[in-house]
Amino acid sequence: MLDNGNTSDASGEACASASVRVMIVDDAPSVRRNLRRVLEKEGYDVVCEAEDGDEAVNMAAEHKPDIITMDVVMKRVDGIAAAQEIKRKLPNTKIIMVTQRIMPSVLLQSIRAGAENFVHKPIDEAEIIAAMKKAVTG
Amino acid sequence: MKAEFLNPFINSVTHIIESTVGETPARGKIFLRGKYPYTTAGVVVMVGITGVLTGQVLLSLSEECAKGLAAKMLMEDVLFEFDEYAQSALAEMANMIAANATIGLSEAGYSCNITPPSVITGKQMEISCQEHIQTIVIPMECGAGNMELNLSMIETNLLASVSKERILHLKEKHA
Repeated sequence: MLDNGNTSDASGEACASASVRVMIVDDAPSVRRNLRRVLEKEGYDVVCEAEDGDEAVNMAAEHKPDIITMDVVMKRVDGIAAAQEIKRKLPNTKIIMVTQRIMPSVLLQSIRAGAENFVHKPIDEAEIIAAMKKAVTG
Repeated sequence: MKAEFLNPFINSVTHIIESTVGETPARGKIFLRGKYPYTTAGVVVMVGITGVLTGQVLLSLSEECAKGLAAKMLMEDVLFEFDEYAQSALAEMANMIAANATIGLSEAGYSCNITPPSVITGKQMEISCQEHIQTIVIPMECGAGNMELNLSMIETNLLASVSKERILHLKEKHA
């Protein structure tokens, strides 16, 4: 588990991916399934999935993940609003935004919301793994 | 339909299929649909276009082709059913094709948004558009089979005037 300050188990060191707790947020079941496979293959512990921003906020509070992969465009509460709310409650949770269009306005809003990194859709396995590793070590 | 509307979709469909399925599709001869209604293959994914342009993008393909593409997107060897995950994968593909195309449209001065994709399945489905909205078809072929990208779009500022003309025409016709 990362020393994310969200839990009582804070070792203070970057640990192996096996102990890193991840939440996947995306409204597309196929994207969630692919991300889970890729991350679990790399040894990450995918603790939960959410299909919209509202569910993501609730699940993050319950599971306190170390890293969240967050879709930007979703029904009801979008990824930017959800990231902002999660960061307010869990400031040390790392958030990787996943989006098709990294438009300047989306980039700016995501950074303001507290996102650490971005990856493009369609998701490239190497790109998401690199972003995860950066989140673990960074 | 102007070429500057079409080119972003040609570039996008090739790029997205390459990046999601891992192969470069062969593009067939682009053609204009002569009449409505037209009959689609068994699976249609529809994405609406709003903004400076109004219309929709329809990806039409057989269920076998849809399962073949979805299998690759879901990292499966084969899919026996066109289930929730397969439908979601195809919806994502159409969504990405349309979203990526809107970047090219924006660069050409046509700022547009897209609506969430809808997946429709059935047999001998007939699609009709308003007569003044042209449908351009981009046929594509890949290992999983053939598909068609149907683009039915019009500049939004023209839509109102064309619609008024059409209403007047219909009133005269039925007077």
